Amino acid sequence: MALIRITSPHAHAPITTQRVMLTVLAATLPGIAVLTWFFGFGTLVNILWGCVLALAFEALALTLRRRPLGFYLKDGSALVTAFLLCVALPPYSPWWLIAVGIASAILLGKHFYGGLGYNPFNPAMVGYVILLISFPVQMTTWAPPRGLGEDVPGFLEALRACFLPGVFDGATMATPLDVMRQNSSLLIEDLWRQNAQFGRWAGVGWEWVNLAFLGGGLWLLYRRVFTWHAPVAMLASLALLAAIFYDGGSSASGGSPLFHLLSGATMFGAFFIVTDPVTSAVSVRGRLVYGALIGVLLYTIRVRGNYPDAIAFAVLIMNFAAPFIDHYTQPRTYGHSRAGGGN
Amino acid sequence: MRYLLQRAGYEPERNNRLIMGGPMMGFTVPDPDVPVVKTTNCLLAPTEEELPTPPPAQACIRCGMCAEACPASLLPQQMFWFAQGKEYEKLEQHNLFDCIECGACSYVCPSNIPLVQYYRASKAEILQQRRDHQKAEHSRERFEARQRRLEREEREKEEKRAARKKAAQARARDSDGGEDPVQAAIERARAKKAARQSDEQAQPSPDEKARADLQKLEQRLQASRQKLEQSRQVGEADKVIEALEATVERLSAKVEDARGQLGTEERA
Repeated sequence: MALIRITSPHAHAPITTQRVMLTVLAATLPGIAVLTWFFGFGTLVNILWGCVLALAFEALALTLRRRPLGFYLKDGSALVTAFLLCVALPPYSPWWLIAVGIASAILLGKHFYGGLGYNPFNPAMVGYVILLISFPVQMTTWAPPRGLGEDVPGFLEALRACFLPGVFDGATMATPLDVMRQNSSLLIEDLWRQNAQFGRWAGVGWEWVNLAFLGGGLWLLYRRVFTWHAPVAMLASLALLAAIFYDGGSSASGGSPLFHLLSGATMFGAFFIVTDPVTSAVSVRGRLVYGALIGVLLYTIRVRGNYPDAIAFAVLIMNFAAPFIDHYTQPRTYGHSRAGGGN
Repeated sequence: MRYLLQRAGYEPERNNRLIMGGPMMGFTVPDPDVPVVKTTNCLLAPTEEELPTPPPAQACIRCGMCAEACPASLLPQQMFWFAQGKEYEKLEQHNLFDCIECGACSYVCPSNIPLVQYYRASKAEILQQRRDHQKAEHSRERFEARQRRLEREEREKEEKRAARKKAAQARARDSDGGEDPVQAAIERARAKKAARQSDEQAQPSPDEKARADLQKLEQRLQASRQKLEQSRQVGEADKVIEALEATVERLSAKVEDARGQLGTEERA
C-alpha cells in the first residue's frame, strides 16, 4: 500500500465546526426554557418551524449553488441562524412572518455573499431587521408574561396561532423597554409603581430570560467557544452609558444600568449575537472596540431612537465597521516592537 | 529505515503514513527505503485510527481559535483570507514571514483548514515573486547600462568626426585659401613614397654591416683581454679569472667566426 503524503500538522484537536454550532444551540436552551415558561410555547413553535424552514432554504441555496448538500447541511450553521432569529421574534408570530425572516436570513444574509464564513452581516439580524422594517406591527406585539393578564397559551394554542390566520387574539402588552422609552412625565419610581410590567430589577419575566441567557453565555465562555472581550465590552459600555444618563431617576432618565442589562435582548445579544465570529472583529483589541461600540449604539438607539430595542441595528451597523476595526487593531506580532496595521 | 521499522513491528498494511519528525511539524516520507541520518530524530508510523486522514476543509467561520493558539501572535484567520485571495502585500503586512509553521492553528481549527499549507504556498509564491522582481531589475540595469554605453560611443564618434571635419576645413583655409585637398593628399603621398625610397638607399649593405660587427667584436675582445691581464696582476679570485678567461675565449671564437664568414662572402 502506498504511503500517503500530507503536510503537517498530522494531529488534530477533536473539535469541529459542527460541534461548535451544536454547543451554541445547547447554550440557548436555558434562555428558551425561561422564555417558554413566561410567554408560553410561542417561542418554541417559532423555533421548530424556523428550523424546518432554515434547513429547507439552506438545501435550496446549496442545490442552486451546486454544493454538496450533506456536507454543508451538517455544519449546523443554518440551525443556529434559525434558533437566533426565532428567539428574537415575538412569540406567536404567524408562519409567514417566520418564513420571510428565515428566507432573508439564509438567502440574503448568507448565501448571497457566498455562504458560511463569507457573510459580512449576521444572518439572523439581517432577517430580523428586514422583518422589523417591513412588518412593524407584528414584530412589536409581545404577549404578556406569566403572572400578568390571562394564562399563557399552551402548545396547541401556540401552533394554531402560528399556522391558522387570525386565531390568536390574545392580549398583547407593551414591553418594559417600550414603556420606558415613551415615558416623558413620570419619575422612574412612579413609572415602576404604575406599570405592572416592571418587576424587581427590570421587566417581569424579562429579567429571568436575560439571566438565563447570561448563564448560557457563561457556559459558552467556559467551553471557550468565544472570548470574553466582545460581550464584556458591550455590557460594560451599555452599563456605563446607562449610569451616566440615569439622572437620579428623573422623568428624563433612560433607566438604570441594571434595567438595561436585564431588559429586552441585552444578554441574548451580548452572548449570542455580538459573539458571532464571522461578522465580528478578529483581534482581542478589535473585539473590545467592537463590543463597546455596540453597547454605545444599543443604548443610544434604545433611549433616543424610534425602536424599543436595538440589538439588531447596533450589531448590523458594527458589522459594517468590523473590517475597519480589524485594519487598525492588528496585534503586535511576537518579535516586533510595534503593532502593524493602520497603514 | 525499513529495517528499523521492521524491528519495531511495522505493519505496512495498517500503518499507511510515515512521518519523520513530530506529529505537528514532521513531514511525510514517501518511501521507507531511505537511510537514517543525523536529523532523523523521530519516526511515526500511525494507523488510520491513531492519526486519521484529515476530512475535507469546511468554511472558515473566523472563530479566532487559531489566533488564540498562535505563538507568534499572528492573525491566522486573516492571513488565510488573504492567502486565498493572493493578496501578498496584505500578507506581508500581517507578518506572514514571522509564521514558524508550528501547526498550532491547523490543530485547533474546527473547520479542518490546512492553514500551514496555505502559508507555505504563499511564502513560496512571495519569494518567487521577489526573485523574479530582482532578476527583472538586474536585466533592466544591464540594459540601461548598455544603452548608455552605446550612446556615449556614438557621441564620441560624432565628436571625433566633427573635430576632423573642422581640422580639414581649417587646413583648407590655411593653404593659400582654396588648394584642392585631393591634390594636397596626392602631394603628401608622393612625398612619403620618396622618403621611403631614400631610406632604402641609405641602408648599409650586409657586407659593410658584417665588417662593422667584426670591428666591434675585436674591440670587445681587446677590452676583455686587458681586464684579464689586470686581474692576474692584482691577484683576483680564481673564479673571476676563470670567468674572464672564458669570456676572452668565447669572444675570440666569435671574432674567428665573423672573419671566416666575411672571407667566404668576399670570395663569393
